[in-house]
Amino acid sequence: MITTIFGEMDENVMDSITTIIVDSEDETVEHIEYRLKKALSHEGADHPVGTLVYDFNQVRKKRVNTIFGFKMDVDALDKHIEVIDNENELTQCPEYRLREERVHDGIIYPAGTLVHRSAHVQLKKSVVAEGAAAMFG
Amino acid sequence: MSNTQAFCSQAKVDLMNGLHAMGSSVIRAATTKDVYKAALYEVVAGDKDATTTVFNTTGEVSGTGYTSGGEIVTTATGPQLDSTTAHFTPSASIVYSTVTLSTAFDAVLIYNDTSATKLALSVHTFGSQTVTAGDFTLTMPTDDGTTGLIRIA
Repeated sequence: MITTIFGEMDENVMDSITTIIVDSEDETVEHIEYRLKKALSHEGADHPVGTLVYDFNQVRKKRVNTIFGFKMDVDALDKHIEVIDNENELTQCPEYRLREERVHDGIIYPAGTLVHRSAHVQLKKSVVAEGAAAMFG
Repeated sequence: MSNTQAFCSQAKVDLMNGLHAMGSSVIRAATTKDVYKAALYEVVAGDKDATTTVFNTTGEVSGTGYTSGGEIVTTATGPQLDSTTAHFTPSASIVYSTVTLSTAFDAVLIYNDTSATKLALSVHTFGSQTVTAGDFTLTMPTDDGTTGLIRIA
């Protein structure tokens, strides 16, 4: 049951529409709408199919692969992004380090241990061959 | 109108498509395009440049999640002509997913994986990188006569 503008309603009488409004390195924010599947009369007013009866934003924290072989919530890690921007490339390298000491498989990993680093390189520079036709004489 | 000396523009595209052979060529098994791959090379190898002729594993990166030879390059869009410049750019980013490459690397070699000798096509360099349990992504420039990844001007 979902609490809508008409009070508690069964999910089955509504269509849900999910739209991703933010998709960043750290989180995904989904906007979820519930709309009437069938026209509804409520307290003397008619509400057509598609009437928005409930909506909300749902935030999902991203998880990243780690050296431990499983994903960790980015919230539990310290993030740093290295950026390189020059004539050859635009590169972003997100790094995640342990915020606190962690023991895994009997090994102590101190706070600050690098557990994830990606690199995304936007190439800017072409390789060019110059075509030329010789002139006689 | 007068005659003008020129490297014919369409011929630049045709060269990219293997339609000219002014020297010894190869017997092609089909008219389909070749498969290209992209291999990563360590900084210490330091020998990938214009003199590179074929793919080899000397200096190629190694690590968890990386397969020697690299990743297939997406070539949905073939060579095109923009004014008098022929250009070709992979039609998708090249992604090495969930890899750990601890030794610094700074170059990618694009080579012809269909050819028997794995002929080299181009070398592209970037700032020295390492990756830890992450993705390495090479995003391509706009595919046109000015910024396309490989051009014959």
